[in-house]
Amino acid sequence: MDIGRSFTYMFEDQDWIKKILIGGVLLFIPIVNFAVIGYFIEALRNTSEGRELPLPEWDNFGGKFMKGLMAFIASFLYALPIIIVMVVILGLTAMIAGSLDNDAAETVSTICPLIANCLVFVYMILVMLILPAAVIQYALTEQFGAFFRFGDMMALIKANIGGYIIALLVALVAALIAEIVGVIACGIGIFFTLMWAYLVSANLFGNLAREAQPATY
Amino acid sequence: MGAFSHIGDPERQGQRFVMETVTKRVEARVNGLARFIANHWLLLANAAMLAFILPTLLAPYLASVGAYWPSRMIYVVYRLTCHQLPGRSFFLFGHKMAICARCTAIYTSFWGLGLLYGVWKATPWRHGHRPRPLSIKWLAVLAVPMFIDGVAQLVGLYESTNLLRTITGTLVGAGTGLFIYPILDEGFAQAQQDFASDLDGLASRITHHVSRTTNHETHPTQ
Repeated sequence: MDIGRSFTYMFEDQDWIKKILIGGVLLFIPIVNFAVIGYFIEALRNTSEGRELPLPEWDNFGGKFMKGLMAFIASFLYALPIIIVMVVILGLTAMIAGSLDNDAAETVSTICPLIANCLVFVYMILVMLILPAAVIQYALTEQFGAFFRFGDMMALIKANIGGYIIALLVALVAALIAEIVGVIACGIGIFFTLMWAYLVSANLFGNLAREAQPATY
Repeated sequence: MGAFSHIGDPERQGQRFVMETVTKRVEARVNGLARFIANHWLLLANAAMLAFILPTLLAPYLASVGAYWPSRMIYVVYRLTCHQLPGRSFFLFGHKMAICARCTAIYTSFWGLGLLYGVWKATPWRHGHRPRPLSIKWLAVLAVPMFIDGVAQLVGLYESTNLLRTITGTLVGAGTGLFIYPILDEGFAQAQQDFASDLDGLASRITHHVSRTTNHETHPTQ
């Protein structure tokens, strides 16, 4: 488990400057930046297959875009239940509050939105914890359904829960470093440092998938 | 050129040396961080939980000494996690806490269980034994009283009390601790072993390299 190498392996690629610059520039452009997510997914898969280097080429742009788009749609679907719950709770609140006397209406209209807030908070934490496992599953299989195979995800997490949490925290540290260094580098540097952070995460989770494979696949 | 062409440009060699040195240092730091997380995960979890709970006590204190804005900011942040209704919250220094009585019970009992787990891990007579995690089924059973209390209150069957909220919340917080800490303990023990075997591998490679170098210097013809 050489986690430190995740921070530096990309610099061993002969074209690392070019590849990170392209990714950084693409991150600027809304919608087009889905391709960067696709690139991240390819890097993750390569690492899980023991081919962390060379970094993926910036070819097959359409394929990368589609993978990124799939990840975006899956993220949206993950958010959907909480959006529905919020709409239902707020709708019911408005309906119930309208049909009650002043005191009861005030109580209902105070409590229900607050409960909805708590639900969103708890749900978002759960999604944050589980989404990397979903992305790993998708990267390995390239099947959209893999985003929602919760049994496989739990098996992956359970196979190395300590490593999973460490990878999550270290990826968080990398993102934090990328943001700080990016802001120091005239603000605009954040796009390029974020690209580096993406590659760090791809390597961390790719290695995790490789270590878990005998147990889960 | 000629015989010395393999040496290359000294300036480039210098740059490569600097790059390699920086790279190795970064890798060592990050590995150190990962090892620290694996070895001290419980301390970190307890510290994080304490850092989450302390501001809920700080908010009423700050309000009581007139520090209105810092106190207000804490209340606003914690509103994301709790309804903060005065009738369902504990009061400190004449002001309500930043989370309700039930949430206070959940978080503090979870944190308390983390502390107990730490004490238990430090006891010499456990002989490396690790408790089995509470099953999901039992965790659900422990959550039932809180669910009933919360729903019954919401639909207006009765108004719960802070004592009931505390008891039901404590059951859930402690149950969650009993469920999650043994799982994390086992997971991080595995991560610790991985790091230890990496270190063993590195040590054996260094020993192997040193013994080969020494042999080569002693018997250069070999």
